[in-house]
Amino acid sequence: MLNPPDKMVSQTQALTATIRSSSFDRSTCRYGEFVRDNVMGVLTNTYPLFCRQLPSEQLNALIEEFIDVHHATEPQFHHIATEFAKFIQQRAQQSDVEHCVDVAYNPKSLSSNEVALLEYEWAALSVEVDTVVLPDFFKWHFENNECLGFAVELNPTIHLLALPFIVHSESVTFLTHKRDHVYYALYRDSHQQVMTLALQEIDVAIIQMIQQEPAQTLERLQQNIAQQAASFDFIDWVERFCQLELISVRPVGEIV
Amino acid sequence: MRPINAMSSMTQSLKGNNTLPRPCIQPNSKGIGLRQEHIDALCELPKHPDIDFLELAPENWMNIGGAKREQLQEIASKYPLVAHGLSLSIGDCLPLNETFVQQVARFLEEFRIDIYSEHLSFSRDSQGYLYELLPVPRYKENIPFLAERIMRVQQIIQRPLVLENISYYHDYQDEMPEGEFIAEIVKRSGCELLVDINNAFVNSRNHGFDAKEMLRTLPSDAIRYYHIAGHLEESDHFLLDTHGKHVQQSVIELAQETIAIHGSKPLLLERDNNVPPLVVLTEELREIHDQILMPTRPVRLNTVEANCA
Repeated sequence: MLNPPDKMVSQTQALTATIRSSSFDRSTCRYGEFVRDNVMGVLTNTYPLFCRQLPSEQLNALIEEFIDVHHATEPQFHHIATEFAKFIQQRAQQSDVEHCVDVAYNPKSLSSNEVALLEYEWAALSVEVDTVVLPDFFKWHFENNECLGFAVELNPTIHLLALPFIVHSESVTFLTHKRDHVYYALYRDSHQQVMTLALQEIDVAIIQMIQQEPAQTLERLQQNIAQQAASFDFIDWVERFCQLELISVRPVGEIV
Repeated sequence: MRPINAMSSMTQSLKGNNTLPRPCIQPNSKGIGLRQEHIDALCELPKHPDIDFLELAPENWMNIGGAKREQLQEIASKYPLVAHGLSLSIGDCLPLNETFVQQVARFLEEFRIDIYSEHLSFSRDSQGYLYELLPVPRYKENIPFLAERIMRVQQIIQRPLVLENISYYHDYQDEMPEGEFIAEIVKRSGCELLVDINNAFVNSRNHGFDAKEMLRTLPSDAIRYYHIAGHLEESDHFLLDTHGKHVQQSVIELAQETIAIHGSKPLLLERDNNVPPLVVLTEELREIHDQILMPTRPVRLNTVEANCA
């Protein structure tokens, strides 16, 4: 392949340097404004809770920094959301390192709660567009223990999250104690709706057991759980989580 | 044990590719862009008689599952689709993102899309993507480099790349006239053109040239389809290609002149901001199309029709 002419490289680089600079002149470089508007538009659509959480000056400053320093590798315009999440995570990691070496506190830093909120909304986006095809979810009504020979699988879109906030339909409430967190499962149901389901610790433990050993039988799973929680009504749990479409149950051999 | 309320909507609603119609876009066809605001209506209602085809940004649909994918399957079963990309960055100075182009090629095949159009622009520098359509410096010495990249894309997608004249808001010094630059790229690369009539109008006003003269320079045979859209006039008379308003009469007149020069081609009405309800937009599409085609010369059937199975 031919190399680009040197003048083409220098001219295009000069234009993008002007666009990336926060001191661009609006009258001579309309693109500076366009690029910032594009980023803001995607962020407010994709991360509404995160954007509402921040003062507008802080959000604008983050967008400015994102355009100035971030190396965006994904070409699609809608990947601005993913690139911004990567930028915030890298920034948070850098901030942690700086705290360890006792660098002065940066007032532009995001709190861990704010980073967690962004990551939650990013995870919701990932679940929404996940290309995986969902299995058929049968709403079993178990009679006796005849299901125990069946195998169990998780909804393939599931993300398990430990969040420092309670999720409501269009808002969150941050927990007051720093070490507190709430477990959630984020997944897509058969109507392609993204669901956020609060979980108990026992739910998380069972889901993790299924993750660690996919396609195990309900009988084996029940035995493992009984060793740690003898009185736990496992069949009721299976029925409930089948209804929620977080797991599916089918004869051994049907699950790949 | 018995299953109750068995759910298999996913498998039932996904249609195999062989149920999708072959694209059938005629020179006098008219279409609109596929907007989120209209998706439910387009899925639920029968095919709209005023929409001959829909244009979509492949990047917004590639590698995406869930509800969006099901909706696209449904829409593709009713309407021929045209892919109009945003992220190719054909005019940047870095190695071509072939992985991305291959993903586009797979998407085109999957949805049996014949036309893949993109912008003659760049979106990336050595730091990364900037997510904006930036103008390529129009110099003769840049053309071989650009033509080679275009040919590589065409090799991957196995069809002509259709390039659009963008609206631009930056001038490099002593550039070639836009029409001559584009015509030379067509000659060297064999690409085709999407002529955006509003962009030509906006650029001619902002940069002081004759739009009709620019359009006349373009090779008629290479033009695959037209875009038309509204623009915003700022207080200092600077024009912005916003796709947020009705198409101005002056742009419609330029479209009539364009068709008088180059003949009838499929026409796509763009509306990306202040998007009206589908019924309003299709009404505007029909009116514009009628206005533009009335005083035209005989329709020339070209290669688009040959793709209709």
